[in-house]
Amino acid sequence: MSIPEKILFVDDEEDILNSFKRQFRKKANISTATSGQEALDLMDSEGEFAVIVSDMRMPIMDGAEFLERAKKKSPNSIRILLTGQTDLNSAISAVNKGQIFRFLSKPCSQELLQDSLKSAIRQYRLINIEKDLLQNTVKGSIELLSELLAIVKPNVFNNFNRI
Amino acid sequence: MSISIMVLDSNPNSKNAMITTIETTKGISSDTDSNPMSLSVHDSDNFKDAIDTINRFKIDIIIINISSIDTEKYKDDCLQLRSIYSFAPIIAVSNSAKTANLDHFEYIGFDDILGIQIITPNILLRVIKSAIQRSKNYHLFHTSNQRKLINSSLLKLLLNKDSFIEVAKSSCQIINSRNSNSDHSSASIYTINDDKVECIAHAGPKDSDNRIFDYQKKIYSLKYSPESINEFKYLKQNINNRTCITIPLKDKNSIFAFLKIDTENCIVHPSEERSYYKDISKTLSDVFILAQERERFEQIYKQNVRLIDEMSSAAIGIDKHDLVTHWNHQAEVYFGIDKSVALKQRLFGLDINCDWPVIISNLYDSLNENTTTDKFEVSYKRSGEVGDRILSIAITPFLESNGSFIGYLLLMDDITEKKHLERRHQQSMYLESIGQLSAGIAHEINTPMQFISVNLNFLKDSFIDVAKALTTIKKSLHTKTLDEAKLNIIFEDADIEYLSDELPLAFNQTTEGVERVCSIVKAMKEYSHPNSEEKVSTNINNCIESTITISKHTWKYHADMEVILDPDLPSIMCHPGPFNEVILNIIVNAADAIKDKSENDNTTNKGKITIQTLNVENFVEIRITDTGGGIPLSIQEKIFDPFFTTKAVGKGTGQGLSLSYSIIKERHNGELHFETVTGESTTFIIQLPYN
Repeated sequence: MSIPEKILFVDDEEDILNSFKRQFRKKANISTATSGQEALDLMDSEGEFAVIVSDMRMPIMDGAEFLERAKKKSPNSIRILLTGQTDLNSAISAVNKGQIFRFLSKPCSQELLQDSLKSAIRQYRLINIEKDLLQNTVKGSIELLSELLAIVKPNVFNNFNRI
Repeated sequence: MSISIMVLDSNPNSKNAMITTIETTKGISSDTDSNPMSLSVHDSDNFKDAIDTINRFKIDIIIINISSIDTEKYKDDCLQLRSIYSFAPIIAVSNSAKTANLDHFEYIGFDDILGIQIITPNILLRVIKSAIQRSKNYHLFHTSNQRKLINSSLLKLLLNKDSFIEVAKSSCQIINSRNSNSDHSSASIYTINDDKVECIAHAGPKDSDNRIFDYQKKIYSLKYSPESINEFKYLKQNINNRTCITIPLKDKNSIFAFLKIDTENCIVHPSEERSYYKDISKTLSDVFILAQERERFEQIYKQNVRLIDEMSSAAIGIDKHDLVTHWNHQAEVYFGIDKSVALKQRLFGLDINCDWPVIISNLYDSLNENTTTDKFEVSYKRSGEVGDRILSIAITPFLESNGSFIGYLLLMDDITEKKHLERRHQQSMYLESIGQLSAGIAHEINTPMQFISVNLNFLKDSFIDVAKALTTIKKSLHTKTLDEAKLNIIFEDADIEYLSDELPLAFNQTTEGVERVCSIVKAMKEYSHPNSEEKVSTNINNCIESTITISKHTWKYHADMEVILDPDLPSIMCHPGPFNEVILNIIVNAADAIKDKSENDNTTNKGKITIQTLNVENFVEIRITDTGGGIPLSIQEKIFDPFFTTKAVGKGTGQGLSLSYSIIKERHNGELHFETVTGESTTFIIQLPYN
């Protein structure tokens, strides 16, 4: 597995971030942040991340709140919650507020985490392809139309091309 | 001295002669007496006129000529004369031999009888004087006799244990029968309550409502006249030949009732009247007050007996000879011994299976200090039951006002079921607290487990890479193709440089993670120390450290923890499970207080919790300080009350501090209190005695 897209891990526990760095050293392009605020700053400076993996319980800004804000900032990023807290309330709040793609609980096996990341990346690509496709199709149709117009009514063409 | 004389004589000659004699007597009296009598004369020649006059004027002596009036014929008139004006002496004069038969006339009611021919002014004066004196003496005696009779009859009423109303009725009968035999006479007692006049008892005919209405005004004027409080004042009215006397009845400071006597004739001489009625008023007032008091005491006594009998605790009264004086219903239930059996028996001789030495030692304490003991617990067995039950007992000694011992009271409650419930409740609260913790603790364990497992995978992969590199080096050595360039390539392939930096870190962090999990599991085990009945020797510092560890998730996001433990703290005997629970409750509250404050202040600064243990004289002091918002003055008194909470519904049960208080106070004989500065900090202080 080798993923060119950028992945962001957010956890207040530095040891966990270190272990992820080791795990994905050769396999993915990962960034880490120890708090929600740091992560949001990173999103500003580094551009869009394909996947954001966040812990739930963090001081000041919890995972649900962070993911909610991350969604506003970067709606295309795929959001995953990785938490040691397994109670229903935190799951509900994360799903509703953060609109997450996966809910993973710590400790999470390497295989599951990797599979989830792969799925997330696929989802991310899918969304982007869809977007590209849509854009290209519409653009192509308009171009075709304008070329036809140019042939039929060259005097109107100028106006049309401006649109 | 003014004296009015009525001369009744149908013979005008003898009548005029008599009047002349009386006129002459006036002169003698004024000459000889230091206190001369002024005589005035009324005359009449028939009974009817005489009685009219007597009713209209105050007549002191009646002189009747029985020679001119046939007393046999007018016997009834003579008797009437006597009865309507019973105080005036009646002197008969006669010119015949009838004088000899005095007895005959006494029975009609005459006081003296004189031959008309011997009457001179001097003799008449003497006769008048002596008659008045005799009459006075007689009435004095008569009145005091009456007084004594009435008083003794009234006082006797107190001996019968009648109700107040019965006493009032009997008093009316006694007074009425003394006054008159007539059916028209009456005696009544009136009370004034809220300005409403009411007849509470009467003998003889009862007054009509209209009469009472008229009478009311008179009563008010008497009751509210200012001088009637201090001096004796009574009312006397003459209505249709009847005399109506109203006498106030007083207690210490007010008139509480009136006695109304309605009679045809007065039984006391006018000169004696005042003191006579005053006396009755005094006696009757005393009798009524005593009867009322007795009735009140009887009611109170009955209420007390009922109260003691029906109270939910067993009450056992013991006198100074150790004999049972009270044994209520609940005592019968507890000990299976009937009241009739227990009474007047020695308490310690009764067939009761309980821990006597504890009771006796408490009894001595109570008697020595002359105070009610604190409630203490004693085990006992109910008859027919196998298991031990628990009694909560308080002993109250009874002393007379002079300090001499007269007995004591044992109040006992069977608290077996309550104890069971309490224990079960404590256990369930304890389990609940562990349950609430477990979600947080899971998080605390899962986090290190996450990086331990990832790191182990990394270590495994790294080892494979290194092993592969070593194999390649070995092969190269074998084929003698190993040179520095090749070695560098092998090292680079295996990323040896990175690994030599990262592997020690990975090992360290993994080891640290394992230690973290171990310490949590150990703390968990220590926290959930079996909730034993016996105290065990406990290291308070260890307890506190474990509790801090397992409660870490409750505070670490909002506060830093500073722990200052006295390393020389001695181990003390305590219940570690409940003690940990207390520490946990206080830490959780501290964390919540800090969280609330930072939310209110809208800051992201962390607060601080400081836990300190100190060795003070003969107890261990634990101080837990938070930098939260403090406890508002208005709720400071309530924070240890059960179910009192400031937290939102579902966040707190309001049991934590109440339970903590009972754990420290009751199970450890310690102290739990707090110091707070509003808006700044709160410190909870726990003091546990060594013993």
